Amino acid sequence: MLLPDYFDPNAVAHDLFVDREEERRWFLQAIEGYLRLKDDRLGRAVCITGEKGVGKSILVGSVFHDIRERHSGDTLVVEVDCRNRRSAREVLVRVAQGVDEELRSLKASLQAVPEALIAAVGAIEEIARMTEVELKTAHERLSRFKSVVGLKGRRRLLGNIEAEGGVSFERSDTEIRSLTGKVSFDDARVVGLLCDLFDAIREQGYNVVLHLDNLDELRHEFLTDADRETVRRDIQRLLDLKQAPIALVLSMRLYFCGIVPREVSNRRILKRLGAAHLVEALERRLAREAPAVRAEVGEEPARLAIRSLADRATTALAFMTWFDYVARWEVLDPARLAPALDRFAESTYSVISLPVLRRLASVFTSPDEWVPKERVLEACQGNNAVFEQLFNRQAVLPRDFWHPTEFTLDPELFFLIQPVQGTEAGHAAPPDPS
Amino acid sequence: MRLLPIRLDGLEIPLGPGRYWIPPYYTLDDVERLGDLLAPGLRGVRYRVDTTWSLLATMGRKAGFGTETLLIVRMDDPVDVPEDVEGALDAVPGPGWVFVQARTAPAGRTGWLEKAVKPVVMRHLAKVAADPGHPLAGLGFAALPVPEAAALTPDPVELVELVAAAIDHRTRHADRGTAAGDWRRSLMVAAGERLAARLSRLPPEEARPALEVVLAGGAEPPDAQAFQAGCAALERIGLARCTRGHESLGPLAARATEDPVLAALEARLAPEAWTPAARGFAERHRPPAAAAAADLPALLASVASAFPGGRTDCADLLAARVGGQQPDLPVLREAADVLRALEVLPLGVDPLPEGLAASVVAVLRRLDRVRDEAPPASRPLVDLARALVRLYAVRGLDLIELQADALRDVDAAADACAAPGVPAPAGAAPAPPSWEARVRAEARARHVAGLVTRARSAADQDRAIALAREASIDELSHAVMASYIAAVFEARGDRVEALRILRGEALPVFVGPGNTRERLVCRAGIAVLLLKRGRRADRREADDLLRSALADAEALRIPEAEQIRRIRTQAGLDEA
Repeated sequence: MLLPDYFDPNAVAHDLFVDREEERRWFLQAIEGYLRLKDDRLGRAVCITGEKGVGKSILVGSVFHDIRERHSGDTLVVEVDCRNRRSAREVLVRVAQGVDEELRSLKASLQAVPEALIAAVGAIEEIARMTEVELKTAHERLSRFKSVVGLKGRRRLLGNIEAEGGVSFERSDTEIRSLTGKVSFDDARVVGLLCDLFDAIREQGYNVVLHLDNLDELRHEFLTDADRETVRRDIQRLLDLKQAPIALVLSMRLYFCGIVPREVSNRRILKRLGAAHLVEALERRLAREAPAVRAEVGEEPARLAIRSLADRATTALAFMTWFDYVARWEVLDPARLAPALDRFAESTYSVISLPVLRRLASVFTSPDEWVPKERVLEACQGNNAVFEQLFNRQAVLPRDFWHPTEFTLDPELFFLIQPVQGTEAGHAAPPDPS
Repeated sequence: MRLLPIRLDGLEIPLGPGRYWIPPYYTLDDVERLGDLLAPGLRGVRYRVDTTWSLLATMGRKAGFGTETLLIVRMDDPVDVPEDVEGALDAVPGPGWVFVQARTAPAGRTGWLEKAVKPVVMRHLAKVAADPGHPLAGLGFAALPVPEAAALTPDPVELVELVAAAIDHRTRHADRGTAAGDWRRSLMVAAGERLAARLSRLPPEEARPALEVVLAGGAEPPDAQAFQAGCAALERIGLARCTRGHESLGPLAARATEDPVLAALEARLAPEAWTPAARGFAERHRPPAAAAAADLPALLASVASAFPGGRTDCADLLAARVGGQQPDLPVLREAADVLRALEVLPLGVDPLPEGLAASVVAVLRRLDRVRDEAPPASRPLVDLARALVRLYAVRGLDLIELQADALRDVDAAADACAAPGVPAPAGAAPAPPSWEARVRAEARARHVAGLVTRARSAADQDRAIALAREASIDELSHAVMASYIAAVFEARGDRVEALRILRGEALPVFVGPGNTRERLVCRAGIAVLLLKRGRRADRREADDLLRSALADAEALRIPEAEQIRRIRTQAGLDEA
């Protein structure tokens, strides 16, 4: 049993990044290209996809680290993790909050950020929280942002707030009290206002890099047409942000990217890392650990076990998660990995019994195989409740979120199928559904 | 020695700002505990606000939560939950993290607990268990079965509570073993008790079909309507998911029919929840040994045989009866609870501290009340529990008369329980010597040993020998006394007499079955005396005795084995 102090399978710190230099260069250039644009009304969208756990977030984190290092004086870097956001609206609110935090951070570093711009962000955030309210109430809620009227420049933002919602920042208290009727701000309007806001920010000389991470996890609900339609509406609304003069970075799992429109031509599918690179990534993560821990990992049985895990893993996350479990709770011994990983499955997917997982795994002959829904249901012995648990717990993932007819296992369960023969060159990437 | 609750300091919970669903079946305490677990571990949280739906509506927009705020909205009353939960939350300004409890959670929306929080809690528990400075390290704490506990629940709060309950159980039963298997058994007992606690949240009319579904373990339901009602009830308390006529038992419920889980479930779940069908399912899953343990005479015999050995858990034995079909189950449960409560008190303190005395008096009064309300047929059981309470209170004290009185009461109460209307088990062994006599003899033996070590004059030593002879009540106790008497003669320098007593009075008794430890100690004692005598002719006999003693000690895996090896080495016997 090993007890690393710092090891975290989900860590995405920039210094943990390995390999993928080519993808990193491409991504950095795409962002730098945006930052060099002469026309401040133009933006750029970039899409990074790949399997669950393949390393999308760490790649973005690594590049954003460089961007922050080089352009912190004039660039707002806003990161919004869509996981555990329930709706497009919640993401939009978070985007406004992120912009607010970045502007205030710039101001704190003695930048001359106009108060009116900060007020404008606050107003948009407030509007994003409104769906349908009394016009009078909307004015009252927005009254504390009156300094937005001082916003210089193209002023499209103020005009649109008035045009879209009938809200004017220049009404007197008496006028506000006499207002009647309601105003509603749907998602499209909020996205439009955010685009206006970004326009105003650009006009003030600042760039915006916005990362919408884990788009696929906004609502990972795809079993019915109605579920997918709800998700589609939300995602399409968020994708409308590509009209803004910002660098919009979208990251999502490969099976989800069918929704990304053709005009987002800057896209890259991250391939699986080879076993050697996985081991290198592990070593990097263990660098901070106590010498005793590193020494134990360096011993022969442990090294062989780690290599065996790396050979079986198709993604970095699966590899790190397996290592974390086996190192902490079992023995890093290649001969004892199989039962150890069974126990990993039992404690990680507790709501699904190991026999069900085994039956499910027996349906597949290789990790890259996809099977129809009926065969998954067969593995559940026709039990719909068990079948739903598999999807809710993401033990089973679709080949294409938007046409979910074929499925595979979560990469963290691939060890149940059959050992994957890892190669130095790395594993083949799964087919691109788009 | 209470180490609970487990401290959960220093966790780093990898949850970004967002909206998270709390399981609807969480009690208010569960929500509170979850908040306590999360709030310190979320990076960026400065403030925590706990509220309810009705208070949130009252606060409205005036609250002005900042992005560094963690907001917990719990469901005190389901009526207060708005129809449009999402919309209501969208309108709340600011909070970075919102943990929300509503009547139902969308499918799969509580998965964050298992995916993001449980692994962090597991890692923390791994560190706690492996800490060599932990006060329980000497009890095999490193074998704490955390992954097994994690396999019993997707919920980190429940994981911590299961582990805490397992620790509680094992520390109370540490004298029975602290190997990995013992810890696992404690976990399974904790799982059964937890399952009972969850089922107890249901009213009896819902608990009954729910229990049947749990114990049926996927078997074809005899009554489809009852099956549906049971599934719905289980889903409400988070023990199963139900979809289109199918159920998927959660991991805790799925283990209900395993041996220690089932026994603990039977011990803890109110009799009102048990239908004949549920009893039938339980019987089908009960292993033969457990079935036998449910027999009252066997239970009492177990109590009788276990107690002279020192610490034992009458509470468990009584609790095992709760699963039976006697009309006295609530009384038994009460008695078992009282005993459990009492067992955590410090023991072996002389004189009885005021706090302990007060606690003993309190639990005895509680049992008096139980006795008043119990049907006449159940009163002997309460009396047995009362006698056991008294015995627990004095068992560690060096007060022979007090212990003997308490044991006499236990004997009488046990006889009263077993006598009328309860058939004796077929082929029961003849009754052993009474407890009183056995304890008196053993206690006197301890006194003799003490007197011998303290005695300086020959007169004192003679008195000690006379006392030891008086303490003998049967062949076995006579042999034990003989060992002490031999020690007196050896102390006087009379090795010949010491050898005669050991060879002639003690060893022949110890060679009988069931006295392995006494036998090996006696043989080693004789061997040492022979070696001390220094005659070359004695060495072969001494060597034979030591080899035999060593074989017994190794078979028992007791520390005496090492001592015997050392004796042989020092005597140069291992070179032969």
